[in-house]
Amino acid sequence: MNKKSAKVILKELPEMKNSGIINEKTYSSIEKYCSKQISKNDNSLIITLIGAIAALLIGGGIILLIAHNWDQYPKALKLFFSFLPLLFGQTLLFFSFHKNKSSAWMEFSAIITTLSIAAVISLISQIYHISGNLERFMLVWILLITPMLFLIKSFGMILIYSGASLIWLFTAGDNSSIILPFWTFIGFQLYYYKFGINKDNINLKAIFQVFLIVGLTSGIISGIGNISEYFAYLYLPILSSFFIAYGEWYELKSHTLFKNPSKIIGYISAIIICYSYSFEDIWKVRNYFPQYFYEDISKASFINRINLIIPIILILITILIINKKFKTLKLQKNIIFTSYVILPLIATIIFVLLLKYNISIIAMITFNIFLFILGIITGTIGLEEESLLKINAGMIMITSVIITRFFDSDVSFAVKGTVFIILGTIFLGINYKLSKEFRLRDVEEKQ
Amino acid sequence: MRKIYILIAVFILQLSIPLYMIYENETIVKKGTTVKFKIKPIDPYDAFRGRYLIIETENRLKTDMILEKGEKIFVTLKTDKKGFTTFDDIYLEKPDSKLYIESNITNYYQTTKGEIIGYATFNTGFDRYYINEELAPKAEAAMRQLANKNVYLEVRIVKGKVTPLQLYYDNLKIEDYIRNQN
Repeated sequence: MNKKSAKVILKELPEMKNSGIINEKTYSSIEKYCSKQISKNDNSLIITLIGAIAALLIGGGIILLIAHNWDQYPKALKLFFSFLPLLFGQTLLFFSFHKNKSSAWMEFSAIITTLSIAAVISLISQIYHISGNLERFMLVWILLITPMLFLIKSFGMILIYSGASLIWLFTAGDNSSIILPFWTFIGFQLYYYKFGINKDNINLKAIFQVFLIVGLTSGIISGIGNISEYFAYLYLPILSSFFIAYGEWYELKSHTLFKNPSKIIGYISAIIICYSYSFEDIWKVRNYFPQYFYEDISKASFINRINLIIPIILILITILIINKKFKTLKLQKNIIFTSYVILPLIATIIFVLLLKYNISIIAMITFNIFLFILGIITGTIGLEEESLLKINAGMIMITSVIITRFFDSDVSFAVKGTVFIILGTIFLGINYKLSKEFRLRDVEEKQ
Repeated sequence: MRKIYILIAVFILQLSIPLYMIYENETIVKKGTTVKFKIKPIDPYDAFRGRYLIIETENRLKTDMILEKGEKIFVTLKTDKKGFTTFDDIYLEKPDSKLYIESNITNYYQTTKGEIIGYATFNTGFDRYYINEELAPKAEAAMRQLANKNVYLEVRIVKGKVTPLQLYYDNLKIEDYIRNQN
């Protein structure tokens, strides 16, 4: 229910009670529900954004002001000025927290505090000409924000935190010792995702989900990638399956597709992975792959090996979700989900077989067929559900398999060109005809 | 109500880290031994990154040890007759001499010409010198004139810890030199 309709109902409610349509008990429960809906929407995206932008502007302005004409002041004064934004932010945050101010206030003061921690550290570094070390700077900053996650609800703060830990991961490069703290930071973010964000605020949840997806993926790539790059054959499908499963589960709370980035990213990445695995070149690594793989594993440090736990956890969660969905949603009917989510299973079988036998051609053929079948399934379900999105996705998958394999063959360019034009025309024709048909049926149904 | 005390504790923690940075650097400035580091000729076309000047010193030493990137080391200092200081030798343990810096290896390679000789590059702790934003554009022009000239950095050192103080050109503060130039 949106705020507007809740207000309308609240307005009409006394009249309904007076005319005896509803009794006292129903009246109070409806009133309670509607007022809850109104207050809930107070935590909306707009207010959060305004608070965040104001904080960024004011914080940036203060820093510009005090950083201007630096060396005309004595050092003690410069140091005092460096602390001003942080003290300002902390005071604001203290009062918003103490007086239980609105979420916009909280947002504003939390962002000011978060940013001014970074500002004070870098200003002091500047005053003392301390050599720059971005990695350590980011780490100190992240650690100083961390305790606030458990006390303060601010969307801007958690996004800054998430972004900062990503930058920290990238600056640290191949330093393997940072991966455990990084997973801890991701853990804090997951905690915040679960408890720190209002459950009904799906806009904010969607944005934060994107950050978490990027964080999770980067952490796995740099963590397991440190052991052996060949693991990419496995963890990429595992990640995509996990995102699909989480997205489908998240949708149980009746959210639209575009507020469910996990689902979108999951399905699209699954298709991209299948497509890239459908080339023979990618499997030609087989010639040196098993030997290097065993070598990499035996060389990997203990910390790096711990990283392998993360995909296992992801697989377990995926299985849990599938299991739960089978019971609650009659998953047998959701063929699309089932067919996409088994991608890591196929990838694992191929991967294990590849370690022993030279089956790179079989691997390539398998993924061609798999992508083709996925395309047919997606398209057919799309036809059944009258969803142009699914129909087109299915057609794109089927034609991409055909076109790519066709491209590999030695047919002349003239023939290739003609085939492309024909395929394109078929695409357009089908879309035109279907959309017309769907519209006609809609009109008929309305009549 | 208890949460508010935790929040205050968090605030104190947030303030204490920058305060500790100040304390640490002030201790070095107050109690430190002053040395002058001759810096490498400033590359006038790559002198500035944003608002700081890149300070390069001769921070590569020959060593007969086999070292690793990131390894913690101690570097002793020696002062010549003119009063300028350079890096002397690399140690893995804290040296007896009073003047040394704590550092870590940033690069190490070996050459074999009969015997193995290693070359180690390390962090100096003073590779930046911040300059006021109004001076920065002028400083760039001034640096072009100062290339290959007698520019040195005054540094204070206590127990291996370093804080850069002031950049000079011939006993003239670099900021004053830049101002006088224009």
